[in-house]
Amino acid sequence: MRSARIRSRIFKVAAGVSAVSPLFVLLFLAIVLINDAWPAFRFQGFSFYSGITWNMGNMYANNTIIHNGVQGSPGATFGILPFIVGTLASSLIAIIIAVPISLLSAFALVYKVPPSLVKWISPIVELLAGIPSVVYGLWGILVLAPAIANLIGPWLSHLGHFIPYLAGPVGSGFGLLTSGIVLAVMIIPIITATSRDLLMQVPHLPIEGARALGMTSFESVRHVAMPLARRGIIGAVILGWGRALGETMAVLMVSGNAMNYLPANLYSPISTMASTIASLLDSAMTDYTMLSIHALALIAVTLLLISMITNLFARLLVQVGRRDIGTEV
Amino acid sequence: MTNDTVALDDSVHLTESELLELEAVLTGGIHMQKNAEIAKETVIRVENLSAYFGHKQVLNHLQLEIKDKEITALIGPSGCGKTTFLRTLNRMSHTVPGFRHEGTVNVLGLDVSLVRDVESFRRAVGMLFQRPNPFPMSILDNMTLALRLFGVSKKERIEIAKAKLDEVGLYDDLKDRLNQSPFSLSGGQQQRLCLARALAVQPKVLLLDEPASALDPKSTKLLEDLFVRLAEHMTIVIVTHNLAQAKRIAKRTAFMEAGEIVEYELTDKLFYHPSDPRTRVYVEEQIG
Repeated sequence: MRSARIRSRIFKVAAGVSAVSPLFVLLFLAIVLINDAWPAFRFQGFSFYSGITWNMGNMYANNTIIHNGVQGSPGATFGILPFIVGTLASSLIAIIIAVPISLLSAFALVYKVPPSLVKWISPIVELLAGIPSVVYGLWGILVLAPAIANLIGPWLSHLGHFIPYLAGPVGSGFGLLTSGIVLAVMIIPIITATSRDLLMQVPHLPIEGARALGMTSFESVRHVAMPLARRGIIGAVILGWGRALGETMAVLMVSGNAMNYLPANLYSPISTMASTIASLLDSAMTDYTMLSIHALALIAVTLLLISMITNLFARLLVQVGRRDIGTEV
Repeated sequence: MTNDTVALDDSVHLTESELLELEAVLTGGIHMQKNAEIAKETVIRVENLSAYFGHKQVLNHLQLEIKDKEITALIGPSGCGKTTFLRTLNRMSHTVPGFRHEGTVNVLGLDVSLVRDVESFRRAVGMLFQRPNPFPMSILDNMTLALRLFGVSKKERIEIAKAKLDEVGLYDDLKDRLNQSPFSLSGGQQQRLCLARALAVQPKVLLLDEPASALDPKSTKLLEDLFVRLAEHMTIVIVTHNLAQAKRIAKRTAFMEAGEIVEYELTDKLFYHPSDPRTRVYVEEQIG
């Protein structure tokens, strides 16, 4: 009896700790990052977000400058607008490519492919989701970038007369489009697997009702199953988007590592926030004023904020969608 | 002949063919009645139907003819294949992987295994399920979605929606909340909404799969009255566990057991003078 009571107590405490731990992890992360980033914000102010020049200054100079009470190398200026644009643009391209493909393959896996085949395909989808990003990056370098430089890019640029951002020099193949496609390939399995599980949980009866009314299987899924799973599917898309926003290695390998330069077209080299943190960390460590490290921490804070805002925004979208359920009238 | 005398009291609702039949019964007795039965159009003709899920046989050489403008009930113990049979009639069984059938099932003059345009076929053969299954959209959208997809104009489909809601007795209660979710309605109201939704695409045959099994007696009565009225201009096949329900509304009843039709007769005869001992045992056990 007594040991059972003790065990129940332990279970309660453990469950309680686990339940609140996400909150504490987020708080801890935010506090550490903000604390680390604060000097950079004092040094640079809001031009951190509007500036397009990133310069860590002359680290070998022995005359450090002091601006707003923060010490930095002479010539240091930190503007991350190109990284923000690069991050948002590449993840947007990824989402635009990935969402229709993922939803269609989830639809096919749940409603169309015979179960004996699904048994083989489903684990492969999960396997794809687990492949390290460096592998995708290597594929991007070896296959995708040359294909874009020599094949897809020239073809797409013909459309540039009608559609903005498609024209222009295609360049080396390392840039925005390549990053977006690599990211899309990486998040397709995530969105597919999640929305497949969601669609499988949709009650069967309304769909049967729709089929019995004479709707095609696509119509019944589009109009009956999708609305039932919509909240979850938007969640799945956010999950994929979050992955695309934060992806570091694969993007670093194919983005072209542009600095101090806003992308002019679909093929421009870019940098994302995550890949910048990774690629500049080494040199920032040599800045003995530590200001460069603080600036990288501020990028991390910004990335965290952007992830949270996109998440909140998407949740809001779902809420609005739920309130107004009628389409007639 | 209880059914016929009931019909006589209610003669305002009789259609021409039923009047003819009635006349035949009254003047010519059983022999004439048989002729009148033949005169009635056969809507569903099942010959030698055997069906399988994978290797498991669920229907065994069914033989059945269902006449127009009648309610036909399918009764029998759970797992006897009634629902599979019903769902074969509108090709819903065919959506289940591993399903196949032998023999011919002819519905509205079409062989179901040869139907190419399944969607149009299913519009003609409506179905109501065991539990209400409203779509996750407003009440009005529930009614108009299929019509919208079939290209019916907005004005027309809203008119149809209102008329059909009225036909099932829901319009007066719901006319101010057509844009609200159907999930706040009672189970009985939801089921009548689903019936109205099925009727909106103008089916000629209505398949009912234990439509009242999840409902209270009052809602059940409302639905049964509706079915009787609908049978004046359409063919209804109902699967039911409720023998009293079959007795109340069905002209004919088929008793199924282990994938076979044991007996198919006028309802009264099946219940009061079953010719097969298996039917007698089942009916007596169920009614007690």
